[in-house]
Amino acid sequence: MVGDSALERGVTPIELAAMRPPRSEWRQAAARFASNRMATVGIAFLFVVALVAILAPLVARHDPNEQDLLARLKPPTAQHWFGTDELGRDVFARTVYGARYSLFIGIAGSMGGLLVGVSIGLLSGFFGGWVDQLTMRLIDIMLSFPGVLMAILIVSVLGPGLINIIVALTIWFTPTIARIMRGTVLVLKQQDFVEAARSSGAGNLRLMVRHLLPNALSPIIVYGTLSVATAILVAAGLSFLGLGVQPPTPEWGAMIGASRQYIREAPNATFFPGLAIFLTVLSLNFIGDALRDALDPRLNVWTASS
Amino acid sequence: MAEKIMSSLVAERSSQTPVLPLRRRFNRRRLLGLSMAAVGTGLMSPLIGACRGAGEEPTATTAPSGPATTPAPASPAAAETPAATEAARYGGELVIANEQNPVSLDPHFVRDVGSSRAMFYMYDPLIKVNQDLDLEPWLAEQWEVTEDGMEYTLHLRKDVTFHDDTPFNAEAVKFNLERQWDDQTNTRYIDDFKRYVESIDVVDEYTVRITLKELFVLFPRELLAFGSGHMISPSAAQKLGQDFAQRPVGTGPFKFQEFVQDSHLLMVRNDNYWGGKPYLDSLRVRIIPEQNVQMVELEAGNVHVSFSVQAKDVSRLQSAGITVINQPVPTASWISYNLAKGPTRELAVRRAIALSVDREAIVREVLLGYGQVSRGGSPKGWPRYHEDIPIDPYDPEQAKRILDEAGWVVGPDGVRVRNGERLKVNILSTQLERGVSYGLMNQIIQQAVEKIGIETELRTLEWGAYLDEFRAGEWWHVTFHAQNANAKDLVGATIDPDAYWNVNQLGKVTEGELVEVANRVREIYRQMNQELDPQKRVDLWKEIQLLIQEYQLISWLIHWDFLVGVRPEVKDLVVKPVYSDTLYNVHRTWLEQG
Amino acid sequence: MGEYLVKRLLLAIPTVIGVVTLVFFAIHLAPGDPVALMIPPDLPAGIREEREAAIRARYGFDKPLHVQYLTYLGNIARLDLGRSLRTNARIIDELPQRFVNTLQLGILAMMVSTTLGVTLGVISAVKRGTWIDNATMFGALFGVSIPNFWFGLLLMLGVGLYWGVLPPSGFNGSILTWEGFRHAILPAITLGTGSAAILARFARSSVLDVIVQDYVRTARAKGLAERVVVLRHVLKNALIPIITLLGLQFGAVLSGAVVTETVFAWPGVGRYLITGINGRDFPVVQGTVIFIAIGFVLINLVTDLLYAYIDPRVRFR
Repeated sequence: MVGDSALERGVTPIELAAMRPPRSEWRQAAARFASNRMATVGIAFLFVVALVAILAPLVARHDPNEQDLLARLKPPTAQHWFGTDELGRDVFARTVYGARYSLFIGIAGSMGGLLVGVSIGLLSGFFGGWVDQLTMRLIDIMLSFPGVLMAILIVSVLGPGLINIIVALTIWFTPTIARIMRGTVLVLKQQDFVEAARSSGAGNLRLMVRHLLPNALSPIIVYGTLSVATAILVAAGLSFLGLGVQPPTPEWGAMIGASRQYIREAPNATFFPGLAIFLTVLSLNFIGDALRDALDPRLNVWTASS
Repeated sequence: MAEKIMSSLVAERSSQTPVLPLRRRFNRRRLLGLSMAAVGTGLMSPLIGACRGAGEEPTATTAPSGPATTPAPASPAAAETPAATEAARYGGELVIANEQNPVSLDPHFVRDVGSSRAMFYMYDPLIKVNQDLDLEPWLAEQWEVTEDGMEYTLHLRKDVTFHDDTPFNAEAVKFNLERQWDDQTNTRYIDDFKRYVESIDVVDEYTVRITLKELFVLFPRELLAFGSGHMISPSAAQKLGQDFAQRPVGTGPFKFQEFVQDSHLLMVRNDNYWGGKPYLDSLRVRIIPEQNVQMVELEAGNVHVSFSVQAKDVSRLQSAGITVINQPVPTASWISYNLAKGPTRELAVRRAIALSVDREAIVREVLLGYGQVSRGGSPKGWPRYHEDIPIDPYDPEQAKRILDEAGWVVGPDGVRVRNGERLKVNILSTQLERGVSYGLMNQIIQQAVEKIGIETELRTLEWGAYLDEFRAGEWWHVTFHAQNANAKDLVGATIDPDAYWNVNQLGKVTEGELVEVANRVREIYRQMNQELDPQKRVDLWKEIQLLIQEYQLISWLIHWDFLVGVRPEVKDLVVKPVYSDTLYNVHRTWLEQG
Repeated sequence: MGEYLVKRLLLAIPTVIGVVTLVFFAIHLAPGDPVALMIPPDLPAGIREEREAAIRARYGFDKPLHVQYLTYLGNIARLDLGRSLRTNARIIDELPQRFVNTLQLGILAMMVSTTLGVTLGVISAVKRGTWIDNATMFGALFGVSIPNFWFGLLLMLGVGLYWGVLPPSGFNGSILTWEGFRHAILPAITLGTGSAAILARFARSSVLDVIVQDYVRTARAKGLAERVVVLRHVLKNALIPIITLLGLQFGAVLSGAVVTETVFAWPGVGRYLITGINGRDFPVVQGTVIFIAIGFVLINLVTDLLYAYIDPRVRFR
């Protein structure tokens, strides 16, 4: 649960922006990325996870919610590869189906944050003035909540549930992304190519979408990848605290939260979903790191961990 | 009778098999219960607090007796070690594990089990409910009640002082009881006192008269034996005001030493205790919320007593030499139906759900045998247990037939449909653990009803939001509920349609035969509230039990056993899991040294 | 510097008021009526309404929301956070102790993460390109990827329950006592892991930045032993940004404590908050969140000051 502060404060947006690769370097970056072995491993693993999520009914031989009170808290066997939980449900099937929820929450949450954050940052940085001032004050306030606390507070107001977690994650990521975006835009605005575009008659919208946005993409891509990792961790943490998805939904964090009471009797029921979170997040971090190295080796961005 | 239970309990504790074989225990309970019923003494506290149930003797005048004159139950454990002389019993610190912080150290703010297990050792009640759940004289060494049950006269002990040397007398009692009325203090008992109590008068220095406003047959049990009946020092309370809870002063066997939130409550011996100098030097209540950790600490010897033992722990604890007491308690659990909304308005649906749950499997596999299937909401051996009330069997085929006959036929996707309407119930759940886990049980119910072709949606809310949603009764149709014995304060099986927490929304029913049922239940409640004869109250409650069964107003599920782990070096410990201090006569408990 | 401090503090005030406002309205607009939880189940109609009204009046819930808000602001200005609806205890009496408990855990966790993180980071930079470097950086990725509630549970299971050398959970007084310290070890490791990983990576790149500088090359050229070069010249300069990050990490660690405290039953602000949320205990939730937010603002301020103090290149703006 190392918050997002390292990310948002360890590097100033100005630095990020200054380090952006010119568009001509995208291809080189792609080559650098492709040569990164860890990233390859990460992508391979994520691919498997995604495949498993999509093909869950084919992969798992059991219904993830099918209880069997006669087979509670069993260790791994040939029948139940990951053993069973406190209701006799197959932990393997639950872990497999859990991939759907964790990936969905992670991606939806960070994409939501990116969408809202980038828009706010772009508008705020581009237009400036009192709107900018107001937005930035609001963002300051939101950032003065420690990360996880913010998410907990939002969920406790909205109530638990899949959608509310995504909303909470979106709200959580928004200020950081908005800030990065705004800083980048502020720097870019001063540069020649923007002036050139403007003088050649480009309107505000065109300037923002065609010129500013593409040039501000690289930090956003890196942050976006890493924020999926963060989102998965945070969502799992919230579910663990009981503020997340509803039982019997086999979300990984919720599985750990529900089975932890039986950790002495059936450690398998907490171990495997935890391992799944760990490996997925690790893969995302491999990819995020590689992206950062590829797009700009000097960029200092860390993932937040939960 | 009381002696018999006590000695058998003690025997149970110190016998070779720390947990009594189930069958033997049940037989004993049934025998006891039957003989109790035969002599007509009320054995039990009300199973369901809100209905003024069995087991009250408001007209009885009890002979003076107290801990000073009632010796601690002869302990076979002590007999085994004759070398343990009286002097050798003194000393040591007893460590009790508690899952939660006490809500407050001021007894008048306490109504929950977590608090009672921690803080009542610093206080004494006016009247005690003993481990047979009978009333027993305590600070009031005797009392009289008028014929109509409206006026109580208490005669107080004369040898009691508070820890701050304030004398205990009629004025102190008046202060304590009138404190319950005070809007500013706003104790947890204010509602009951405002509703039931008319006046408190000092007759002489050691005599108090309490006049009721409205007949309340459980008055001594609920309001003189539980939190509000515990006496706090008037001078300390006046001096400290709302901050009394930080430096509590009572009359009990142990004095307040320190309380560190979420860590421990430390109490030290009151040498001047009127019941005799306690054997233990001190009493430490450690707050350990994790059930697993309590077990580890118990095995390691860092904790002497834990009330959180679960069936899964029993064999491991026993092999570590720890005694597990299986204490009979009238626990209860059931499925609540929303009778005013959704498909559960229909009797056929409720019947089918009742038949779909495999109670035997829950007792066997989840409780590992430490429990029993519920018959009419009462465990065997208690006054409200009647063999002639049927148990809902596990019969999913019959459940399906009932639904078929009611016109709910299985659709293409396995969900039953009638006139284009899908048969779907919303299940409300929470994370509470009360003997059994609400989340676990609701999920078991969910699968059971899905198996008979009912679609479900389960929503888990935290306890506060759960209660809101539950009381609103708009969304949910089915929910699991459980309660401990002294459940007046809990969302008990309050079948009373007019109660604030009406467990099945019976009060909101506006159509069909249930309107008539609601009126009958109302009438029975009215009678029970006015009925002084405990046997007649048992009979009245039986009428409700039969109505519940006939109309499946709720569906009873199981009773779990109350398991307590005690380390072998603890001697003469008596567990009493309901009302006030959970360890009875703890000043007589001692630790074998070395 | 004094002027800067005053300016920063003044700037913090609107932030804090904003936090208070946001929290106040968010909580009051959330579903769930605390009064409902305070009324006994079987109170008959008539008396029930009367009691509800009395409770609302007592806590001021009967007033319009904006009046409640202004009253609350006024109370906060007087450092009065109100009393818990559940226990009636004064929140300002309870919170500082909770905060101290969290702080104890946080400081221990920071000690773990700093020692581990900076040491490994420096070693890995000095030995860059070797297997040590690779292993450390790989380990750091593990550290940030592992869900800390799961890691905590694994530690609890292995070290606490099976092995039995450390208490699996709970709080046993100040960490300055032996028993208290023993109880803090597992949660501190859990809490410190993520931070250690981040610090290790940061320390590595910070050292790498310095190591290529001219003065280091000069020192080497002078024939100084590598150890001296690293300790005297590299570390000293590399430490500046690390110290800044420490401040930031400290804030992150404190917020991470919410989950760790739940896993290990540690009685800090995090658990206080969760209990408050579950009990719909408005004053507790508000008080805690505000307390934490102010703490955060202060930590950030101190970090910035520290940074400016250590690194003369940064001028006070």
